[in-house]
Amino acid sequence: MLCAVNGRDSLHFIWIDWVTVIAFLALTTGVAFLTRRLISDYDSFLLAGRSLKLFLGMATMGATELGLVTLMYFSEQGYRSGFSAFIIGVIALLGFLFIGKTGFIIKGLRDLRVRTIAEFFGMRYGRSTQILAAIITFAAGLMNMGLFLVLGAKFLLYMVGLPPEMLPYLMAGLLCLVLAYTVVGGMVSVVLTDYIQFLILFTSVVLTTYFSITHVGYDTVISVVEHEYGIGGFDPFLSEDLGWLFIVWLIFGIPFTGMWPPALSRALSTVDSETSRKLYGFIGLSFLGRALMPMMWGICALAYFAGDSVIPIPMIDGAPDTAAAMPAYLAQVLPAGMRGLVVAAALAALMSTFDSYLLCWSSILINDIILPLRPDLKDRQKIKLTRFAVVGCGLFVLLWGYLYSPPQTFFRFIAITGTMYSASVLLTTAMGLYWKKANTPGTLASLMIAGLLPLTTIFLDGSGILPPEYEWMVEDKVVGITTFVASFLFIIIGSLLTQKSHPPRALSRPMHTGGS
Amino acid sequence: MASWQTLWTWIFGLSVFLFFFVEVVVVFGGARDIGDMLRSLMAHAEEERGKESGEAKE
Repeated sequence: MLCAVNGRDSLHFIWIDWVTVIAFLALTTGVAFLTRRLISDYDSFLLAGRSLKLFLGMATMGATELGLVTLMYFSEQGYRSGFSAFIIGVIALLGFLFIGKTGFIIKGLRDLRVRTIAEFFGMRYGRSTQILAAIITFAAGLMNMGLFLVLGAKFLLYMVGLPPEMLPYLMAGLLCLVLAYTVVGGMVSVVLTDYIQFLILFTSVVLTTYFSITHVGYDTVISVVEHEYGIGGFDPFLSEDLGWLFIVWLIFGIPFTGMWPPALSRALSTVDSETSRKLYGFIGLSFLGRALMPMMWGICALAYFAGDSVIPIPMIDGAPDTAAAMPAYLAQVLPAGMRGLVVAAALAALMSTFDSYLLCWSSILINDIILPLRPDLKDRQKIKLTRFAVVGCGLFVLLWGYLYSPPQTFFRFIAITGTMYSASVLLTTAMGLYWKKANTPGTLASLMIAGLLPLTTIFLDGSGILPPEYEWMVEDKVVGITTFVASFLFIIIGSLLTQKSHPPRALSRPMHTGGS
Repeated sequence: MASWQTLWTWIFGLSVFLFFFVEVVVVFGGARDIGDMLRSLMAHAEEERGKESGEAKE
């Protein structure tokens, strides 16, 4: 699958790099095991007893949402689109400012004290809708997470300088590490390790940006992008890789920014709904840098490999491996010691995201798919089942990541799986919260169409199954926009047509209690 | 093209500043919140253990 990393066979690491990485791993795993005695019931396992205050909530959300996969897909996008890719970060910032100002969706959900978003569907529409929403969320989430391990392992492979054959072993090793402390400690250990990881991660990102730019020089970066991509390297509307359709697609997602279930679970874990709103408003300020800094690493890698680089760009199946360009570049330009810190930060990024996502998808499986069918389960049984689900999800991710290659960039794959969830589950949640006429048939129709349409891109785009003249129909930008529009129309028309046969249900608070 | 270059350069500078600002605020504020969270969870765990032992006696 992978070709040679570079001309050298030796590892890039020296003793100080290894010491940094090992110390970090010992610290985070130790914390996870020490917090075990704090788990007294299901709420304390899953939501840290709903005791997250503002700054800790921000630390855990910041660490969760800045994963190693984030660094990888943004850097690849920077490499492929130049400065035009920055529009993605700007749109994300606008989304967070909107949510922070209005509390759109998150405030309503926190006030209702639901554990997961699908639970809201149970309250508003009924059990069958809750299960369908949970299945779509679970499927979109697992596919989205499917690339985490492979991208994370690829980063470490090129940074440390391991042989490419080590990739599957590295993926399996990383999975075992994350599974160990997610299964043991639940959300409490996730939150505490997230705090440590936040500190290391944010510091490393700033320092790496400095080393990355100073090595090639900012003027060189500008001139290389101009030479490689022309005006399209700066103007996102004229970019060959992005274009106005792509921007419209991202704008449709603005009201749902940062509401991927693992991030949303942070909002639901806070002490009150006002804290949830503030959490989005403040941490959102860092989301511009979260996108732009790794994109800049990718652009610097482009400038580096376009010049007289010491090593050639990594190749995959005979073509440049644009996702691997950034770690291969950083391995060359970062000083000894700094490389260890960056790998520790990368592990932090991978673990903080991966553990939260594993816990989140598993809780959706148990809480929203199994529990509605088996409501008599006790807390201990639920925790045990969730732990089994964590392991099962991890194994799926290992296989999916190794076997599946996305047709476009990794970011665009993440975006289309995000649309599968946003246009179905989030759009119908918003309608359920703010439109009294939303009812079960309209919601079911909307969930079905928005849950199915993105699959055409995921499985058909670039597969060669469709004739070339019809390929545009399954392109991610077209499918993304169509999914949002169709989902909106389906819930409006479906609900209005069935008001008499299926009168809308009023919202009622959930039966379970626990936490504050 | 020059206007796009200038725009992105300024936005990039702003992004680095905001990122660093959030980090400093969150690291100091988060350390205090950890103490509060651990106290709350320990109290809750004690309460649950008390309930369990009470039920066992009955």
